[in-house]
Amino acid sequence: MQSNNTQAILEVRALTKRYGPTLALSNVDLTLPKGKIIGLLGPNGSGKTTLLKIVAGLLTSTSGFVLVDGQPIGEGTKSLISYLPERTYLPDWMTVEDCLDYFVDFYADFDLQRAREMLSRLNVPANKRMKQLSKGTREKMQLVLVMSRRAKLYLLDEPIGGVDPATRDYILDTIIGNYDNEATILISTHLIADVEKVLDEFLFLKEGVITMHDTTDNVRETQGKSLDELFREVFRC
Amino acid sequence: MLGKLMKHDFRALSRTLFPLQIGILGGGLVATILSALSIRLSEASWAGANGSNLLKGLILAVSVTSAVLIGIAIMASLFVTLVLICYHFYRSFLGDEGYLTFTLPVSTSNLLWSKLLTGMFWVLINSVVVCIALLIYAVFGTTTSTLINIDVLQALRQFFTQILPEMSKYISIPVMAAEVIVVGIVGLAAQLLQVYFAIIVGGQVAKKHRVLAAIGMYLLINMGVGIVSAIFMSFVTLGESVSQFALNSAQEAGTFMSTIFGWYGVLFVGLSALFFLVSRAILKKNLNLQ
Repeated sequence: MQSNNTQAILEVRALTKRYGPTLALSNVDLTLPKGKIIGLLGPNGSGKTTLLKIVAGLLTSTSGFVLVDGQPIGEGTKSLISYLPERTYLPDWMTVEDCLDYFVDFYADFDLQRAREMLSRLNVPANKRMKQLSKGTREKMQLVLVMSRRAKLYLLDEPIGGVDPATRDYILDTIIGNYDNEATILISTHLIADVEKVLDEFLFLKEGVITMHDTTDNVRETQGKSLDELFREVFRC
Repeated sequence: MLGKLMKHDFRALSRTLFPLQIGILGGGLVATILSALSIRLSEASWAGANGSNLLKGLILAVSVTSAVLIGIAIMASLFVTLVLICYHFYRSFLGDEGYLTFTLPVSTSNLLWSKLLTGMFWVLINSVVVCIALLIYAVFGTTTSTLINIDVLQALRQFFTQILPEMSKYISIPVMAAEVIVVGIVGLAAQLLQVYFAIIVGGQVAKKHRVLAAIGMYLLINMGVGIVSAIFMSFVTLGESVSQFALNSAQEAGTFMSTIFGWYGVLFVGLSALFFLVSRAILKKNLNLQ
């Protein structure tokens, strides 16, 4: 199936995902352009992780379809997507060097030089095994691996959730500074105030339904609010 | 990409399986020394050495017990090897590492091939290591006076110089050997794929206690495979008209064995293809990493 929209990196049509009786995503339609940083925002259990996992190819949808750069999810789209899950997934026994070797082997777009520079800047020791690193350092390690690829679509699930504010700033600077203008970054996060400054667009996801998709500039100009304020208003308990 | 997958699977498995093989050889050597020691002490006791019979008896008991335990551990290492291979499969496919495995730009077939080939490699290595350990034990650990048990070496020599030539009058030894090797390899592949299949199905039917679910599925599948194999081989033996083989000569018995072996090969290839294709279909169409 080929996309009609050559500018879209991600097209989602009538996407539904059920976990038994629970509806995680309900008839989601979505088109994301190339070259944008987009926030996927919503409260816990709204379906953010489910959406990212379906696009990454880790979950099978109940119905609907997803196209990445015009291709259905499969081996081809996995070489275009750089996915950062919300959990640590690197094997405990691997050293930092082993992880770099792994990514060099499987991803033609992996920039080893860039990865080494970022690891050095974040003080991640190259000879340590994953089990010897703190949870925060492992998360940094994963982010470095993911952002060192020249991918077309980055899916980042809570990339700054587990790190201190200083590192958070560095990570966000890294995200902005290292991605290609043609690439799109979809960031899922609760820390809206921190990421707001880097977002071009945002999506509000509530109970598996996209309730708003707009540009952050438009929110500021038309509503006179920050994205954080709008989020608190929309999702007030 | 298959080569790269195998490289990393091999590296992951080697971490535990390489030391295990070294342990088997080390344990085999210890068992050999203890056995040789206990045999010599036993001989000395019977010879009527005075004074320290209690001590000798104690050393003898400890030596024999240790040698037996180490022997059992060596034989159990095949099971441990299989468990470690399956655990690696489980972690790579259904654990958190699945997030790494299933986002790689490689085909599901290659993922399965890599796990299968590296698993088979380590089972074969383990089998060779166990045979070496047992051979060392038989040659050096079972003699009373000399360093080497000549009888064992003579028995081996007799097998190659007398028994095999005698057998070759009735059956083609190279064909039989090739058949045993091929059927052994496809049988191993079928067995590993059956376990992998059980792990995958166990992961589908249970969200918690997946290991228990995988064990349950394995037992169920094993029953099914047993029934299918029995029916298949019944048809085969009927189809081959067993009565045609009067089996009243060694040559006919050899031919019959060779035919049955061939059909077992067909059965194992069929089972391997079935487990591989269904596993691949589940992973492609119904992957749900939680």
